[in-house]
Amino acid sequence: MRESPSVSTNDSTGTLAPVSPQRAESNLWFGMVLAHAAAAMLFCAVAFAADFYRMRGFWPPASALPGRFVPSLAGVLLVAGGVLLHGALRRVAGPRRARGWMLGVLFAGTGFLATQAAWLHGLWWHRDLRIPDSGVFASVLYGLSAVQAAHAAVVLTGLLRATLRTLRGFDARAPLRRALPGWWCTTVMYGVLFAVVYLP
Amino acid sequence: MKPGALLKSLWTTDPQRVARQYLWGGFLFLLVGGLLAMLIRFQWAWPGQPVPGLAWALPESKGALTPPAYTAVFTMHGLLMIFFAVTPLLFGALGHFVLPLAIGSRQMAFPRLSAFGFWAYAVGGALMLASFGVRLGAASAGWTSYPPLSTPAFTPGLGQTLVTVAVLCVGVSAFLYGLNFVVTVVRCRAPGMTWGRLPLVVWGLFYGAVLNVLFVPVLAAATGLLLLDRVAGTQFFIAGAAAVGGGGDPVVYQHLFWLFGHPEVYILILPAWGMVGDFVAYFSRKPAHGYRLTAGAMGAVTALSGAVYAHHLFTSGMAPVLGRTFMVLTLLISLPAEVMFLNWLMTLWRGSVRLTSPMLAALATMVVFGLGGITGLALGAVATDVPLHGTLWVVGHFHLTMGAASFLAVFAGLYFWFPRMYGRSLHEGLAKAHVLSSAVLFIAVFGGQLAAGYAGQLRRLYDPYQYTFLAHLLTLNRWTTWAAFLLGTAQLLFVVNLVRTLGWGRAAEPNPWRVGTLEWTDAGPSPVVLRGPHELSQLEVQEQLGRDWIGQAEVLPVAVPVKGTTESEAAGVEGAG
Repeated sequence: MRESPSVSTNDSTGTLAPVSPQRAESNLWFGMVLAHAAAAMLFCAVAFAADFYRMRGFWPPASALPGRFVPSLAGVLLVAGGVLLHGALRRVAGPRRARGWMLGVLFAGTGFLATQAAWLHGLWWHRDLRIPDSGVFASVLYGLSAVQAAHAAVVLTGLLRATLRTLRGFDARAPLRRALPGWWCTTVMYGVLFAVVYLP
Repeated sequence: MKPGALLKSLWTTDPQRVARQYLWGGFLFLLVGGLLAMLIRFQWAWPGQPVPGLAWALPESKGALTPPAYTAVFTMHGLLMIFFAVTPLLFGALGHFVLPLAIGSRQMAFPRLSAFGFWAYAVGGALMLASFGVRLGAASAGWTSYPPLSTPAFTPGLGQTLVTVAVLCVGVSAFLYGLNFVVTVVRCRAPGMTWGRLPLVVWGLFYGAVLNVLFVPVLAAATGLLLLDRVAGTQFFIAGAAAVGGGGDPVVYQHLFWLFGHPEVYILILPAWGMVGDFVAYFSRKPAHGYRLTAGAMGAVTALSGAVYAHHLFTSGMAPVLGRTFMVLTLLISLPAEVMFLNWLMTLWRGSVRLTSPMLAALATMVVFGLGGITGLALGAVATDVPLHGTLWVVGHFHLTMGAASFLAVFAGLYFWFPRMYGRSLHEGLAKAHVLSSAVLFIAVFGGQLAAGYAGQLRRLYDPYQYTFLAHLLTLNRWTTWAAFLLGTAQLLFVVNLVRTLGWGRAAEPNPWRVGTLEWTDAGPSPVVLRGPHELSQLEVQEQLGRDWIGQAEVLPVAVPVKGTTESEAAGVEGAG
């Protein structure tokens, strides 16, 4: 094969005008919102499946219906984390003042994941709510919880990075702003999960 | 080449290079999927007879397709063509190539996502090919992978699992470029490139990308749950005797699959419509008739596409009132499609039509999509869908819309942008012969399927002629098979053209089609867009520049208002990007 002739085909990036940091950040924010919307669609598809099974009339199996106190507590932790995140965002201009709030958010998020893990572990081992013996109810419970927890873990990882930046004295406004829609998306997902799985 | 340099060229974030990676990947899977199509056609013409040259792959049957091999062949054909050939060619190759250039950004919003997306696609493709070699063979549950057929009870072995993971990988790829396209179009347009100045192909890619972002996650959910059913023992889609402790329902999968599957039709056809709209204008040397209406109609199709999916489930036992609702919505979607068709015809009307290869391919796309659309009306109405469901009529219909129309649009785009992509001109005569022969043979092949389907031939029968009421279709199917073989052979025209051009082709002119969009006109690193994409045959331009086109960012020597936009106004246009 010969070399390419005169018309340049690789000039697409050679003469690019630079993208300002503000524009790059707002692109990233928009992309994150779209990604959360897509994650919500995925979750809604699974929730739709769960609702379909509920409508068939034998949901949830009476013997399998777990209690609601611990799952409610997990939900409260998520809502509290969201409120703290708003607080952190308001105070982030002064990194020192924001630190406490951000650590609070991290605590709430980690607490949520830990509570969920302990609760599901308890259901699996102590209530014998297992796959495949417990049928589609167990599949939905663990499936929905896994999708929602994965989303929460991704948001939490982003927040952890933002907190570390703040602790080192950097401005963490942008990552915090990015985390906000993700946090509320994961909270709404949990609300749907709670309604689908735990409410009779 | 040093390993570091090789790695750098493979992990490229330049959208033009990513486009070329997708192009070659798409061609590879088009070839494999096409060869599988030939095997299906052979089976319908000479059921159970040894396929010449296939004894090495099927030694036990001396090269004849066995029923399991046949089911694997049609399953893999559908999956490869839809997920690994046509969609990546339209979005991965042409989309990555044209979108950043046409909007004046020259780069994607998230270049690394483009690279990652390609490699997710490549991994998925490798898994698809690997599935041919595993014990018990490749996937065999049809391209839709409906449970319970796709559950381990009915399709055991690693093949179906590998294919399920492969579909998840290609879903990741489609989601990533969808997200990247949406952000790029919304946030990275050049100053002055308002929504009303976007080329129609960008509109098509944008709408298709929106559908990707919204509905590929639904496919991921369906496929993910199916994968869990296969490997983790969950019960989402397992019912009846196979279920333990209160099973799930296979019909849920059908809902989820078609919630993605029907928008997928529009994911494939929206960029094709965009190309048709642009090319018809460029090669009629006229502004696109009803540009805003066309863009709006594409938007209406996008909005409706998620609300019509259940017409695929008319025979699943759904409530009659739901059936009627989805029927009305399905028929409703044909209205914006008609608006687009009328606008294209009006653009052609009294145009100075030039039958170049991209124009011929665009016109052929219009024709085959029109045929596919008309035959689809019978499937959108409950009363006619019930007898036609599961017959070759459905296969003929969706091959005309998703297969032939998208395929011809890919080649329309490729013939149009190839000079810009590779700096060389393809041979026009060979290109025209390729397009014309493909279009005619597509209609022959899929028209034959429509006829056989109308006569009652079910779509996945191993040997249809075991049924006496189908025995008379053997002659029709043999003729159709010969047409399919000719169609496959006609693709050699493209292969010869491609090899000839890349090896010995002449250098392309900078703007061989004489159009003004940004990918063809050197507008500098920071173009300011002054006008729409189809400003052709304007008197002022002809008087001042001596040609019938003007670049979207080109300044006229004397400030003359073009379509009501002066340069001073355009300079003051709020920064779109």
